Amino acid sequence: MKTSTRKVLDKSFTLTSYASLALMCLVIVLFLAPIIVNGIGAVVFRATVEHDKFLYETLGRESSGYREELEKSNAARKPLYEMMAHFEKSDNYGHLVEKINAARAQCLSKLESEADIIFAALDIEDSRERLEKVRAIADAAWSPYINEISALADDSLHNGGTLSAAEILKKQSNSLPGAAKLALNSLYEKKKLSFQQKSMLRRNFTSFPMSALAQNLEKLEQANAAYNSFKKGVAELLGPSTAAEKEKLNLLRQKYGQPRENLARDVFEQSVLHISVAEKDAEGRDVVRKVESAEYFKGTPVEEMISYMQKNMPQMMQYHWTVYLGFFFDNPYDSNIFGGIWPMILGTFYLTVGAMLIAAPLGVIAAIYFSEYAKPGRLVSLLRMCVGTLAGVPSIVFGLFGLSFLINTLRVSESKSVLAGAITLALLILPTIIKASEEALKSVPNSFREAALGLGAGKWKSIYSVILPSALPGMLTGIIISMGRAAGETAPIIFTAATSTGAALAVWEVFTQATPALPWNIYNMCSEHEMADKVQHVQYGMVLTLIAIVLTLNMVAILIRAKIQKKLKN
Amino acid sequence: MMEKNKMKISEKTAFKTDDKDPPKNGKDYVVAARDFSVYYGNFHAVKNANVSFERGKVTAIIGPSGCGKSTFLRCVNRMNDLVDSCRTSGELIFDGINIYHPRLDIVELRRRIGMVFQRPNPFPKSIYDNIAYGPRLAGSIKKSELDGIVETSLRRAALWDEVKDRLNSNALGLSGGQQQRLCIARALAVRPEVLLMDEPCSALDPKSTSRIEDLIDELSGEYTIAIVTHNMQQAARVSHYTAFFYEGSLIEFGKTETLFTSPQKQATNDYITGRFG
Ligand SMILES: Nc1ncnc2c1ncn2[C@@H]1O[C@H](COP(=O)(O)OP(=O)(O)OP(=O)(O)O)[C@@H](O)[C@H]1O
Ligand SMILES: [Mg+2]
Repeated sequence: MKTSTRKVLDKSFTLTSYASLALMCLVIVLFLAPIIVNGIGAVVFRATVEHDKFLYETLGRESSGYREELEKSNAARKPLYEMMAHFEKSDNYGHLVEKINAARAQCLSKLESEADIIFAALDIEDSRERLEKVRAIADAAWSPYINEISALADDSLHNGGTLSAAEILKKQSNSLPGAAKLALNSLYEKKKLSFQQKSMLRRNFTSFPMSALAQNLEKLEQANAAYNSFKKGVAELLGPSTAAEKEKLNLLRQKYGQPRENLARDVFEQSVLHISVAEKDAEGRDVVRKVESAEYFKGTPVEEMISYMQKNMPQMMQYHWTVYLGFFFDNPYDSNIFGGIWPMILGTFYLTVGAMLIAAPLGVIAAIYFSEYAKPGRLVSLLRMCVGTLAGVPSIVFGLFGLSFLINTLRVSESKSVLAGAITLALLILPTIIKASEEALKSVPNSFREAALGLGAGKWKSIYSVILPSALPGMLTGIIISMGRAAGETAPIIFTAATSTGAALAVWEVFTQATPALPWNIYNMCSEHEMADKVQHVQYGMVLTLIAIVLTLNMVAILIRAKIQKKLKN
Repeated sequence: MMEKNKMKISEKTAFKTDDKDPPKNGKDYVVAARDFSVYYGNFHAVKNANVSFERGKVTAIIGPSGCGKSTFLRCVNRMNDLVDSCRTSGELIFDGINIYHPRLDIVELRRRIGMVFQRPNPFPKSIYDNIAYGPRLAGSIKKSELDGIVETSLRRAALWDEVKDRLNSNALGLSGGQQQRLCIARALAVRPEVLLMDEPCSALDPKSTSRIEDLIDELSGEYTIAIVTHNMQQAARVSHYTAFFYEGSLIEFGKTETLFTSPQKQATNDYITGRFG
């Protein structure tokens, strides 16, 4: 080959390898960077006063400056709550009730006083003319009343108080049929009427005001529903407004507002600045539509509340940076919406260490057998093949095996337990440990064996005193790396050890109890959690913790190997 | 429990080879091979060799590469048991008993027949622990006693002065020549009767080589030594007897002076004059 061609080939090869390395780094950065950033966000983040409130009230830990924060936020929230209380006050329109009742009484008495005109109308021959006449009379009779209630509804829609207005209208629609019936009965007494005539009267003198009432009421209820949606958003954001209200609630997520700034902003945007309104679409079906609350409540006191909140969010929530190390050491509360991931970390620790305690001795012993004792033969190659096959079995199969054999057949525990999971994981990593340990033993130079044997050491003694120590770094590396594998495996523990919620276990409970564990809970929280989008920081935090555990284990393996190798060399 | 089946070499009555003993010619042979053959699978590596190591003397084994010198030497303390395909026939007698007797206690045999290998192979432990390895195997031993053994062994191997200040540092930090002397000291610490040396100087510089030759000289008399070497001068310098192997067969065996000055066989003559090999 010509020198120039060779140079070009060399160069292009170097270039390709650089490019592939760069690509790998890029992928790692692209993949890891968001995980690291978001994962750290689980611990270091902008908290709100609600976060500190939770810590203080539930865990008894008082963050520095908590009281001051609480005071400030309460002060900032007070005007809002006052506005809301005023809006909801029940006697806003108390003074109008009299007026409406008077109007109604007037209408009914008019009915009696105009009995003759009514009877005359009922006697009209032509049915269309008759109907028009009766309607006109009813219209005239009821219009003051209907004007009165429409005015009330309109007023409340513009000035707030739809709640109390709706109350009044409801009462009206409850009592009106009775009152109207009384009035009609007195009419019937005056003259004997046919069935059709009676029903015509009823339609026009009862149903007519009733439907007017219902129309207004519907408008008001719609407004109330919108307000309630807004109010729910506020409660979600700030938590319950009073201690008494808090008492009534069960879930922690209801007892506290949003603990993190990003969540608070989201909730403010989605549940306060926007509200859900039930409407009927073109085909008459009920649909829920999101509308901008500022638009919807335009011209009402709610608009003022919204603009107040927009201005005073930071004061109401008291955003501040915090470092929540408790994320690693606290129990989760209310489906991980509050608190930390301690049980998952501990569960992963139990499973990993348990698997290692079971697999390492077995694996090392098997490796010693393969490398030092086994004479080549059918049985040994069969055993080797089994180990090789075991290494290739998908991990889900190990999980099923753990369930059907360990739990259902051997009954190592009643149901899922850390023990069953650890055994399953141990079986999973056993082939790796055997292979790594065997390699390590094989790489011990034969001259060490000869030297030991030549000095009169027995076989076991030579293995124990010379070969094992020399093979130790390699073995440890294999063991620790497979610990990392065990820490991250999900499939085997789904069937044998993992629960989605649960407390941190004490050491003696591992034989009977199932445990949460990082890999399973990551999956669970990302896919099956009822509020997956509210706990994103926990998801990332767990992923980062898991990666950190695995990387740390691998790093320790590398360090141990380097250290022992250095010791051996020097 | 296994021990019961094992025969101590000292209980030699059962193995006594009586009339079949090789002709002693009034000499005291510690190791004697009689029609001794070694096979690797079907390959006949050592063919019907008849060699003896006289007590307290140095026997050199020479021959071209691949002629079976190492193979023969490694059979003497049954190091070839490590090779699965290796079989032997004929007799190899040590102290009156057959080394390949099925009930022989190999561990005791190896304790009495030490070996130094071609490449220095100290354990990755401290210098002290290397030397103490053999004595410790024999059973628990007092620290002061062990210290004594370590010092004498190192002194005998002419290494003491160089390492006495760093007995606890790792043996792999020593130079190649020092390592080889350490291996000799380690073998001596077990107080073997026979010392087998397989090209102990092949990896060493002339200075280290001459130190080790001096050492062999000093040790002879007390120890029975067999040394494999490619260096004719070395064989001539250190040995009392020389055995010449060629293609697995023992061609000539006799007093070193005789063999080097007036070889009986043409092949021997060709080899020592450097015509082949
Ligand atoms: N473990 C083994 N398996 C199979 N054949 C072997 C083995 N060891 C040695 N042999 C063969 O036996 C023959 C003798 O080997 P041996 O090592 O005894 O030679 P040697 O005389 O020591 O040579 P050298 O001077 O190169 O060390 C050689 O042909 C070699 O190929
Ligand atoms: Mg050799």
